[in-house]
Amino acid sequence: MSKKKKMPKAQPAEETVSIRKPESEGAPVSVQKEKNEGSGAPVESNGSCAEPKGVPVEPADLVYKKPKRSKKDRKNSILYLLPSLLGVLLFFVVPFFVVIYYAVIDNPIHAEFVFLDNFSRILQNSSFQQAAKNTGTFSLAAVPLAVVLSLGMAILLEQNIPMRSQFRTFVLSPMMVPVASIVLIWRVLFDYHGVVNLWMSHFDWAPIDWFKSSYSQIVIVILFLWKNLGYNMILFMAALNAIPKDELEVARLESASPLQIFWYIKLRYLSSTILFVAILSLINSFKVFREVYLLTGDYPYDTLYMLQHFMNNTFRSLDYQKLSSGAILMALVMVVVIGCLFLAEDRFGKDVEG
Amino acid sequence: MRTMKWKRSLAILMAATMMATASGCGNKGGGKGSVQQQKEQAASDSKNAVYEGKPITLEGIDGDISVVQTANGKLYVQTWKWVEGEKPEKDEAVEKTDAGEKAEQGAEESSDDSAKADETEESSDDSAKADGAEESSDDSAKADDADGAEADKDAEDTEAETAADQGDAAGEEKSDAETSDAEGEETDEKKDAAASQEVAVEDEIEKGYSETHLYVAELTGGKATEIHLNLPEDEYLSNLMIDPDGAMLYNTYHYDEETEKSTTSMVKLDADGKEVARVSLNDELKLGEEDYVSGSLVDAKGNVVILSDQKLFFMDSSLKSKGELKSEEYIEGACFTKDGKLIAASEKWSEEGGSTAQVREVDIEGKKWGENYKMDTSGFYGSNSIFSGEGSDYDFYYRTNSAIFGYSFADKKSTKVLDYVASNLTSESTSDIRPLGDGRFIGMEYDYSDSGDNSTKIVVYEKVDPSTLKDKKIITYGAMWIGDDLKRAAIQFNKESKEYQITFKEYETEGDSDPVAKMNAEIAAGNIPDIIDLSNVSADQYAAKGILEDLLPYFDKDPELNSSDIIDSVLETQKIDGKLYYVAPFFSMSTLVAKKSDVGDGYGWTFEELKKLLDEKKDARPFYSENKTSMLYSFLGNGLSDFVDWNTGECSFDSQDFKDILEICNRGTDDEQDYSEDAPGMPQLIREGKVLFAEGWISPEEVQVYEKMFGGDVSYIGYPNKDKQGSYFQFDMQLGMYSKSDVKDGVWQFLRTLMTKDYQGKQLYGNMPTRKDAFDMMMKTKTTKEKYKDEFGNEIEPLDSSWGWDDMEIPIKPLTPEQEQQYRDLVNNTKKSGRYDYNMLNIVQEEAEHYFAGEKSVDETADIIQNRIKTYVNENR
Repeated sequence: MSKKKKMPKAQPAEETVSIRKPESEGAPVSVQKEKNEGSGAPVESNGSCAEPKGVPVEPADLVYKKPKRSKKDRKNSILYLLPSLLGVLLFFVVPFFVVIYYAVIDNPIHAEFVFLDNFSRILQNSSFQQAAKNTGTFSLAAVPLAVVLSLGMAILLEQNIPMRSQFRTFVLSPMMVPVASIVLIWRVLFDYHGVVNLWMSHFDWAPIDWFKSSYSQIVIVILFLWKNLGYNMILFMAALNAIPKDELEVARLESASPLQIFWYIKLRYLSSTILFVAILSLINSFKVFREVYLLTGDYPYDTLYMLQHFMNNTFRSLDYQKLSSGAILMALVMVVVIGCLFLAEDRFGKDVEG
Repeated sequence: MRTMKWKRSLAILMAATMMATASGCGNKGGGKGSVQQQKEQAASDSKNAVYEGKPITLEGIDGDISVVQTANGKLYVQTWKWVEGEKPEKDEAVEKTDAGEKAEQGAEESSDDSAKADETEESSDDSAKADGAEESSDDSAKADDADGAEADKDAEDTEAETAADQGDAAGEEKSDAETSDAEGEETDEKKDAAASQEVAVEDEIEKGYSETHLYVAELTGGKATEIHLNLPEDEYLSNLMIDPDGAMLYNTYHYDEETEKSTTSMVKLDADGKEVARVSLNDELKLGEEDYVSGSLVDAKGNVVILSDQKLFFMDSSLKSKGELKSEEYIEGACFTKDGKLIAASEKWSEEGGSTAQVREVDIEGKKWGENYKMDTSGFYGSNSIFSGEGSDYDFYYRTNSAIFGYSFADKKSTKVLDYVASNLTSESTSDIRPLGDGRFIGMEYDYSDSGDNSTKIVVYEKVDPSTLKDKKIITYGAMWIGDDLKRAAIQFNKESKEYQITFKEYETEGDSDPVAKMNAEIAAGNIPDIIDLSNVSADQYAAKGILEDLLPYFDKDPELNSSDIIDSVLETQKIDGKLYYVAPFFSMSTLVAKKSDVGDGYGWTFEELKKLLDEKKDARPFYSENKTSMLYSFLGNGLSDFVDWNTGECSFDSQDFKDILEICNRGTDDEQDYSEDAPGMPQLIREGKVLFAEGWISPEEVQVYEKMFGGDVSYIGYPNKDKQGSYFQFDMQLGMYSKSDVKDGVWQFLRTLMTKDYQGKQLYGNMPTRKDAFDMMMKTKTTKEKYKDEFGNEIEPLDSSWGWDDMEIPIKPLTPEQEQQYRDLVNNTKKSGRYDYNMLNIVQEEAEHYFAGEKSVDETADIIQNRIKTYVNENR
């Protein structure tokens, strides 16, 4: 049975039926317009039963009241928005423009416009390049891992396995641990004299100075995953629960394999959540600077040197030009990345969202 | 509809509040406009607090003025005089008992005058009191036998204060000045006493004694009449108080050597100076041996309040104890307010280390503390720094180290009344300043400059009508903290300049942990002071930001000064990229000293040469300290930039040179340096050849020290580095000019005063001056073999002292021509200024620790250091 409702072509003759009452109340009649223009065009509806012909339908049920806004209402709404708007302007928008201003002058003292000189200088600065490279590789490695692993864990913990809620708690608890404790634990584990090295010496492997070698990124990725998996997992669990069960039932009845079900149905419904989790993890991957700074200080080994280190240090040495231009470059990159993510999501999940 | 209106008006209200706060924040945050506003606001505040001083001239004063008080509209002046020769014999014992008897008689007489506010009222039935009087007279008889012994005790107590700065001592700790309304109070009692006792102790060879005189005069000056005191032997006045009848009370101490007891007594004299009563406070108030009377007050009725560390004692007008009150904090001072309430001042220390000043009311009857008022300053200045507000709108005044404030209980507000800097008063004049009770202030000015006459003047300060003050342009002087020398120079400038006024802005206020960060933050916010003190920050960094103005053109245009007046090598060192960004009047030098036979006669060497030498001398160690980390600092402290090429960003910490240095340091030990008495001292080890180098600051005297230490075989080769420039200058008082200041002329007017021959030539007791002619003057003082008077009228005596260093005694005599030449050569060959780069040093030290502990090899360590410092260098390039 087709769920799509087709307006029979005979209807136009009866169009007057359902319209009169609304007119008396002044409610606009968009339905009427649709009928007029799209006569013959099928009207898609997801809904339940078809309208029986000839039964007068209460306009209140059908008509979606889109109130036309009067001038007074518009003024009121602007007034209500004003406080929040002012706050956002003051604390987000205005500083943003100030940063752009700083990035195009050479010196806060002399304030001469040099436009893009700062940007070119900073792009050639090898420390900035190093920082950008590190941050980029870290995010590239950590974010997909975070998304995939947490999705896997969410699916796993949705099944009926024993001790399910205890496992969920275990996975979620690292999120609540304060940063200082995490730093302490990690240092105990991965310091040159730490537990991991001790364990390795049992196997006669040479101890590795984890934080001062190229293995440092691995350690930080592990730290990041450990901290953030729980949160992402919960988001995915919520999204999994929101998938409509009947579609899955139908698919199963039509003898689709679990993998097909997963790929064609679940993933599509999850697409907006995946986008959300990806962006969240991206943001959190920048926040990992906090732990790195507490573990290694101002000038860590160069594989751990992130963009935020660069910004901190230039701020302290009063070099606002580098700071501002770096920040703007980073913002641009973020805009591009997130834009791409949105586009991908749009294309991918389009058919389920409507 | 009505609810809509209500909601709408609420929304409007919220929006309006937000706008108001936003604009309010905008104003406070400050751009260029509001900096000007702030300056003007501060200026107008200060304009209301300007007082001008007029000295009082008195005739007939014998001796140096030590304490000044006002009471009953008259001026009481205490002087002390050092008389050489033998003291005339006096029939002391007789006088003592006479005084004691007189006290009794006087006491009985005065019992009739109970209506008058007399201190010692003795009722005839109070036989205990009579006994007390007798006792005290006995005590004082005994005490007479004690001689220099008492002097010792008090001299010790007060030597600390009088040691360093004469003027400041007057206002310090144990001595207090309290003023109440009718009575004047004392500033420093101990000063004259201590001075006399001190001298008595030190100069056993020079015979002499000190005399105390007391004069009374009118406040307008003129002839001073002496009140003849017949003080018992070795008694001195302390905490002198004068009651409305003119009778005087003072405290005194006696130390009995035989019984080893010290007694504190209070003595009352009548208006002519005759002793009327004497009460032992130890008995009356149960004072302990250690209790020290820091001040005392008397009110209009004659009741006495005694301050002693953390206790207040109350006595009635007959000097009978009426109880005591304890305090948790040390009582800085006390006074009676305008309405006659007793208040006490103390400083409360918080856990973080800061302090707040507070004033508490005292309920004398109930012997408890009343309400507590917090002053918004961290501490008081001087001793006994609260005064009655009689004759003004305030309840009381209090004194801080920047101004005198008046406080009113009704508004709970402090108002600045007398601003020191605005009134051109330096610290020598302000430790003692007090209100007179009619809106004027009185204080003492000490003139200790070399050209002054070393005397003390009494000065009365009257308020200057702010409308008559010309609006001078304000110059802000920003620094971590401003030393006295510079403050004096700035105040001198304020006095002389008709157009400009310098105001101070110190970033190191109490409790601040990071003044450098605060200064940087202010600079970032745009609040840049016109004169910037560069002592603790990097002049290079500021110059690179464009904050500093190039001063060479100012030197060129100046009619009197020229950049060639500065010593050539000093000027070379100060220049950054050919421009001069700061003036520095004095310098010192730091270098490494070694045996000439080992290192040759140069002024710098490379690391290779150092290594060669160390390889040759395998059994000697480089420095006295064997600790690895301190050796690292010694070698690399000034030479780290050798391994960095700031232009290309290349670092060479993985080079063999650097690794060799690490290895050399590793030959030391991890232990802290043993500075015990038994360990052989440095001079001995150098003589034996066991220690190769000495590091230190070199002044002309040090040349003699090192010559003796190295047995004449001395070379100032300096620290090793690639440019072969081993010695470093360090500049004091580096002051720069803000490049965008709107008062540049004024700033230059001030800065140039520091570079004049006048300024530098008059301070020949500190570091070396940077002007060629002043430097020559300084060298002359170090090489002269006979006394002479320099062109500024100072008497210069040839050097004659001796320094000790462990087991070596070095006589410091005038320099020989060879030594002088050696020193001059060193100055002329020094081309660098010392600047530790803490970030780099920290990185090196952190990693080197692992190497020293044996955890990593030198290659690994060098690689890590290279890696981390490369990041740092590239960031800053």
